[in-house]
This record gives sequence, structure tokens and C-alpha cells, in this order.
Amino acid sequence: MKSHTPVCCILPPHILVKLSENPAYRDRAMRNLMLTEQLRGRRTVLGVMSALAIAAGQERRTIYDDQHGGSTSLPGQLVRGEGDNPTADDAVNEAYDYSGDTYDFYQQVFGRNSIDNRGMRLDSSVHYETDYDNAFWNGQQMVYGDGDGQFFQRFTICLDVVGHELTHGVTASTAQLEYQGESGALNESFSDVFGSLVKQRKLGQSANEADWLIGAGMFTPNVNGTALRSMAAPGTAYDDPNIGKDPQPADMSGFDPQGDVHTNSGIPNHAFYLAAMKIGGNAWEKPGLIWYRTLTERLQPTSSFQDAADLTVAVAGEQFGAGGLEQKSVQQAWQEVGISPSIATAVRIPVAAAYPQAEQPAA
Amino acid sequence: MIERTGGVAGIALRRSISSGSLNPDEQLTVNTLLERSNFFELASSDQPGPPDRFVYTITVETATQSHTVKVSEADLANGLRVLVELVMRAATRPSL
Repeated sequence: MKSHTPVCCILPPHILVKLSENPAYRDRAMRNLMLTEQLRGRRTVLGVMSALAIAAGQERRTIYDDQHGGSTSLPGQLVRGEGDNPTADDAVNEAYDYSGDTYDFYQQVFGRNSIDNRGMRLDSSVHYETDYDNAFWNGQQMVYGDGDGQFFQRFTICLDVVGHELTHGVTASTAQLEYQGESGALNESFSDVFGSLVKQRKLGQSANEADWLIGAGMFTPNVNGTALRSMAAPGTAYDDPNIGKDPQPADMSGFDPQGDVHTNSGIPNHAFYLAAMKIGGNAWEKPGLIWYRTLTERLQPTSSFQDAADLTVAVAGEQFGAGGLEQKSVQQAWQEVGISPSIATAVRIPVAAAYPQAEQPAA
Repeated sequence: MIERTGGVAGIALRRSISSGSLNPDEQLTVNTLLERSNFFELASSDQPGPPDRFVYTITVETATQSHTVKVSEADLANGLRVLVELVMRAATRPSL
């Protein structure tokens, strides 16, 4: 840390905030505020300052060790802050690196400043509970289990799973797709789509080169399976006497009205895969932009598969030209999974009407 | 019987125990937990839980009654949480 005439840690955060509003002191106050806030491991100060403080591109990650505690002990012990060196704990370093990759993806590809587009801090807790076969975003932070070691590895191990979880936060800030029925399956699908795109871009893979698997590497060698899900071939990711068989359908003939949202998500997942393969090139570029704009500008909490089809087709036409290869590819993709998009009647929902509580359009 | 669905992996599991397989201490524990959590009066929530959390569908059958409660992992009150943990660990092989 550079040393300055201290506008220092002895000042409480609200005074530092006030000082930071004065251009003469702003830079110094900001630096001290960040340091203080990082030491405290709390977000409250950043929340107050969000509008003026967070420069786009300034990711902020804090990693905690929940030390096998449950939700009441979250976030746990601070073990790695933004800019700190890697630790000896793989889970900590993966949580750090992969949340950074996800931040970079959204910032560099779509100009989105963190999950909420306001520079929200990306906190993660690892070693949640014991043998916990799961990871989740709880609205404020990422939480990762260690896996049971018998069937599942630690849940920080797959970049696309990290991207999947963080994308739930993006969805919660934008379309707010309800987590049941078709809207819930769409919610799940957008998390798989963008989780996969984060991975594809990190690896520099075009649509043709990508494996289109979600969570490849999550299973131990004891499991007969390659991944949690396959977007290219839903239903084929695993078939194991202990875990069961991948239940995902690839099209509407397999839609399960009682199905878990992670099951029916196979259908919109496959639609994205097909659209990306038809359009070609890097899937995060054109298909990714169509899907991103649809999620952040058009979809509603109760949107159905039909709505997603209609809207992605409409956005494709607006973005890349009506009747173009992109729009036709998106249309055909949905048709192949059993949904017929209505091009002519796709309704453009003004952002202000869709998100009356938003201060500005999410973009 | 407990069915666990949800989670980022989306894998469904079932575990069950019957009181016949429990020793008297374990039986007492289970009964106490059921009583403490007021299980037979609990209503299922029709709201979906938070994304990628596990969802537990818990069915308890006695000689006189049967009751099912569906609850997100995020909303498990303490008594029910301990009961779920007990049952989830009881079986040595998952049965699907």
C-alpha cells in the first residue's frame, strides 16, 4: 500500500464517504475506504457508495472459509481478499479465479459491471457444511460445498458451475424468472448457457470446439458419467447405478410437467446449442448477445418457453437484421426442440414497463 | 421417507428409515424431533425455494396418520434439519 497523509482507518466509513465526494480528497479517501472495508470483510460501505465508487472493470472478490459450518456461520473466516496471493487451499483459489473469470466475461463481453451491473462485490464461502454435494448463490454471496468425495468432487472445481451460480444473480437482477415450471426451467437454462459461455471464452473455444457439457469434472471416477448435463445431447451426461440416469429431455416431447427445473432446462439448453451451431463462430458473440439481451431486457418473471422463443427471435432480428442468418438460426433451433416462434407477433416490451422499479435500463 | 431434489446437479435421491430398524434411543430421537418440529401440523410451502438449493419432500407414516411436507433446504427449521440429516445418513446405499 502507498502511504499518504492519512485519511485513515481511524475515520469511520461514513466520514470517508463524505470526503470521497470532494474531488480533492476523493482518490485518497476511496483507497482508504476500500482497505478498511476489505479488512472488515463487509459490504455495507460499498452498498452506500455504489453509484459513485465502483468503476467498471474493478472487480472485488473476497473468499471466506466457512470451516464446515452451516448457514448460520456464513460467511466464515476471511481467507483471501482481492489482490491477495493464492493460498494453499484449492477451493479458495478456484472460487477466487472463477468468480473473476465470470466477472470479466460479463464486463468484457456485455459491458455488465458485476452481477447487478452496479459493481456488486463477489463474495464466496468455501467448505460449507460437510460432504455437501452442492453450491449456490444465496442472494448475497456464493456458497460451495466440498462434495462427498465418493461421487462428487469439491464444487469450486468447474468454471461453468461457478458461472452458472453467479448467473442466477444476474437473472435475479433482471428478468427475475420464477423458479418453477417453464420460467424456472428457463432460469436454469440461462445459468447453464452463460456458465458454459464463460468456460468457452476462457478456453478460446468456438461453438464447434466446445464440449457443451455442464460440470464436466464434477463427478469422481466412481461415477459412470462425463458431466452433470449436456446441452448438445440432453439425457446422455451420466448413467450410473448410484446417481441414476440423466433425466433431461432434448425437446418438448420429453417435457415433464412435474419435472425439476434442472430437468426441463434441457430443452432451452438444446435450443441455444442448436442456434449457436447454426450461426457458427464463438457462441458468446452473436447467440450470447441475443440470449443476454433477451434475459436482461425482455423476459418477465412468468415467461414461458414460447415467450423465450418469440423474444430471442425478435431480438435476433433487431440486433442482426430481420430475416438474417442469425434470426433464421434461432427460429429453426426452437422449432427443432418443438416450439414454433411467432416472428410477426413477437411483442416488444418496453424496459420501463417491464421493470418499473429499475432506476435505469439494465444493460 | 425423504426425497431430495434440486441442487445444481439436479440429481434426485431417496432415503427412508423405518422405526423397526432403529434402536430405542434412535426411536426416541426421531419422535422427539417430529414433536419439536410440530411435523404433523406443518404445511408445505407452495413457493419455490432459492435457486440450486436442495428441496426435501418428507413423508412420515405412523399407524394412525401420514403427512407430507415439501420444504427448501434454506427453510429447514432446526428440528426438521436434524431429522433430515439423520435419515439422509442412515442408509448406506442410495435407493432411487
